[in-house]
Amino acid sequence: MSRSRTLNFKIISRILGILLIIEGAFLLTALPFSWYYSNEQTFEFHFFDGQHDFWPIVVSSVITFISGAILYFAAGKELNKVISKRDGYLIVSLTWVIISIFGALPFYLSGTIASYTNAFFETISGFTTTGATIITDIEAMPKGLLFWRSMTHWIGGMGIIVLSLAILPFLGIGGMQLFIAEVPGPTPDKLHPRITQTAKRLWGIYVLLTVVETGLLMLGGMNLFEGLCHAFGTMATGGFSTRNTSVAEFSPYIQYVITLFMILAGTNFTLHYIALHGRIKDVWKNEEYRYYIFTILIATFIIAGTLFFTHQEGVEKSFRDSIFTVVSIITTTGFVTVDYLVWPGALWFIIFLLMFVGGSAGSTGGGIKVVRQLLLFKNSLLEMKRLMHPQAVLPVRMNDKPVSQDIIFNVLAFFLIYMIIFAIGTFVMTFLGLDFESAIGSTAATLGNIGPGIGSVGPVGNFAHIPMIGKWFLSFLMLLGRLELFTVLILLSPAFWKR
Amino acid sequence: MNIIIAGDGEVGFHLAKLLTDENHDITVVDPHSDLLKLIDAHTDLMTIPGDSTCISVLERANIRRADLLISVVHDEQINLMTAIIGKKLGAKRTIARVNNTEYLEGKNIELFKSLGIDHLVCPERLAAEEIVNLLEQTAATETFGFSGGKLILFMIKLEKKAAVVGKTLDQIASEFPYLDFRAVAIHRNSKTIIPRGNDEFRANDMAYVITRPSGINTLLKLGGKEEFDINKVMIVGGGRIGRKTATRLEKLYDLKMVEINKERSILLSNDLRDTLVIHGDARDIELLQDEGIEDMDAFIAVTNNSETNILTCLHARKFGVKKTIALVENIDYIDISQNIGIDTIINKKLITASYIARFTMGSEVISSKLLHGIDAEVFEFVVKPKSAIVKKPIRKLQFPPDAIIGGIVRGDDSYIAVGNFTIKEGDKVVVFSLPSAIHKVDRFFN
Repeated sequence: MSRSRTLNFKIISRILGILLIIEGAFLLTALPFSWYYSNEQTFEFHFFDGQHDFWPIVVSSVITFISGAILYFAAGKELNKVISKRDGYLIVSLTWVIISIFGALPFYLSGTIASYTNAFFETISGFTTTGATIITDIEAMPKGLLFWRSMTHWIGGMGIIVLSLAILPFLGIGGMQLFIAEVPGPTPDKLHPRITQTAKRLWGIYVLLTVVETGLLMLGGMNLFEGLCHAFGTMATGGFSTRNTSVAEFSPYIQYVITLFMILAGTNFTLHYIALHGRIKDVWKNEEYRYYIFTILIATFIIAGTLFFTHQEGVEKSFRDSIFTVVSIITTTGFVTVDYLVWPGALWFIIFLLMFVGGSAGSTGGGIKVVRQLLLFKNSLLEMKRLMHPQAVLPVRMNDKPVSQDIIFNVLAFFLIYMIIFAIGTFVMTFLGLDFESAIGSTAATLGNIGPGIGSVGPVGNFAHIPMIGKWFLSFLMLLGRLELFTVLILLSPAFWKR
Repeated sequence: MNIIIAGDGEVGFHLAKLLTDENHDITVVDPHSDLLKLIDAHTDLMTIPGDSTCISVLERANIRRADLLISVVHDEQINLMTAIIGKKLGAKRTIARVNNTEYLEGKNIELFKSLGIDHLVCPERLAAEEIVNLLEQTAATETFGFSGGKLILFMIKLEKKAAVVGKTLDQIASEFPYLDFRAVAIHRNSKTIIPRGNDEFRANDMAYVITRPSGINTLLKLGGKEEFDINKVMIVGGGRIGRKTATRLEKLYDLKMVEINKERSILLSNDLRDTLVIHGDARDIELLQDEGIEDMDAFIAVTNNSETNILTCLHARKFGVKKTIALVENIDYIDISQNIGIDTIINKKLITASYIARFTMGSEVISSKLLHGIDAEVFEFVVKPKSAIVKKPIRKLQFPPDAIIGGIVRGDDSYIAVGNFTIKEGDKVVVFSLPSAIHKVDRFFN
């Protein structure tokens, strides 16, 4: 295998081209909804009028498709198919930026989102499954665009790179580099010796869960459009809804269904695979999963108890509101049924802490991830033991197996960098004129890919009022959060560009 | 095919890479997670850290679904144990690497079969066999016989004065109509080409040619090579390969062996009655001169150190030894060593990997050989009744461009493949293929 030091621009161009072509195809899925929900003038050309979305979507799809084709053919015929580590990081980071640039076109061309900055913010918020929105009146949006908005979640949840690995066999060896760079968690699991097969299984489970959830939501009275949009938002742990008041609009049954599927979406997909193979007992043996469930239960218990005594809303409602909010925040989904900012201050703090927990490794959730916190926690406890017994050999154990030092160091660095970026982000946002609460809230919510934060960007607010520079900065934080810092940061390091 | 490879050492690593390229699903088990990390980053396969004799480790590698379990760690006891346990846990076929040649004897095959070990492989023995074959065919750099020598593949490095240099394949065919041969590959500037009629030969090309035994001598002359007789042979390095080679050769040739380790030299001299064992360092030129390096017909360097082997072979060439064979374990060195003039390189890993690779083909493969220095393999298939290959003449088969049919053995006769030849069931077909096409070729015979 050649270990060439220069970047393989041809393969980068080829892969980006293919991904844009895939995105162009996905754009077309919004057309049936656009056509079905629009009035007669569908087939007249309308652009920038803020009401029609059919032709803007078609044109966006064509532009995306043609750009993809140009990149694809620019790669030429003589192609070295080896993807080095450096190529891998560059491809994944570029992919996410470029699909967001093109994904923003329908919003912009239709005029429903007047400035391109806002359209880009909305799109990258979709792809990174953040769910932070700048749209004030969501229900006024044309349905085709709302569908595309939720679709960006769904594509971004399991990842467009993983999707391309599943359907394009040629990525083979280099695919592993891309897989590592896109899949969350310190050490991605393989379900099958072949990366293509692993990606197929992951997407298979993802599609299956989405279909089941859509069915259950439709049983609860949603139509196909809303069922799909909410299933996309849930399974991707995104959080875009089709209603102004988010999930509060719907029945308790639907809220429970969404809660259940948010929990599933925040679980490591390897565990779903194991469970589907009938080894349900093995799932519970997973330490991260147990810790994840316990965290949800304990936080729910505390919040539900407090709400029951302070708000007098009955046992069921207190329980439902608290478990929905806890799950929505910990999995970094960001659906809302209740304004948690009217709750007592201590509960805000719990919710704020949950923003840093995040889903499990190998799930669609963002944040720091449960497994990293578990490792940090165990390592810290062992550190005390190490002080007592300087000569002792004390490896950190996970699922009864020792974890290598490399991974511990990686996790420590991740946590530190995460916190530094959080601090810098908060500083930048206050500098741009936000109050302290909103600055903290907006940074934590975008870096963790959650959506609603605290302060003016809380569950009933949105991100529309953030200054333009702030929106680009938060977009960058969302990208950092989704690709787990290193994939993007490595591009900014001199070591990457040095030959 | 689901294949588990136990042992990520030299042989395991190479085998895993080769089989992954051939589209098999590979799981590698090894106790050293550092080694696994390396292969995981460069190859599309799954790795499991752990001891291959542990039942739980084998179960994690999905042994129940395994079509083939290959155990190639350095310790033969572990390999035997892994194969026995693996078979009992559900692996369909098992292969174990051994060092003890006694196990390989025909009468012991049943013993190991009853234990659950289907095939035994001994890399050192394979390497020794290769050396013996090479000495029999002195003009060619690499040779391989199919169906007991009815068809022969050999590689010659074209000399500048060779008659074929500067001519296209079509020209040669019309100038020498009596000559029955087919050039299956040309290796030039580190690239392998499958030649078509209008490709021409150049000086220093390494040409792989398939021919019938009767055509060999003419063909070698066209390549600017001459056969010569071998009487005196010097072997450097009395390790496992050196020793096995000496055992095979000492009755045929006048043999000298140079071994650096005193105790080992004594042991060797006890076992090898007809070989003159010399204790000394072969990098010492005076020693080689004292032992008459100028008079040697062949020089075989098989120490554990690839650099020593390459250097001593270069020396031997300088002293006029016509045939030099170097054991080079570092695959990256092979191409460069051939360029600086060592005519034959052998590599234990490649030999073993290609020997094992044949067990992974769905079709009936009698023999296979991975060529040194280039990324290609030659297979000998038995044609099954309903396979795709029998339906049309070769020209109309749409055979993949990265592969070529070299020749056919039918009964006692052998034929060189030409476009209008139609293959029948029961024929043995020799196919040359680049790794990318192996899978497609397999389909034609299945």
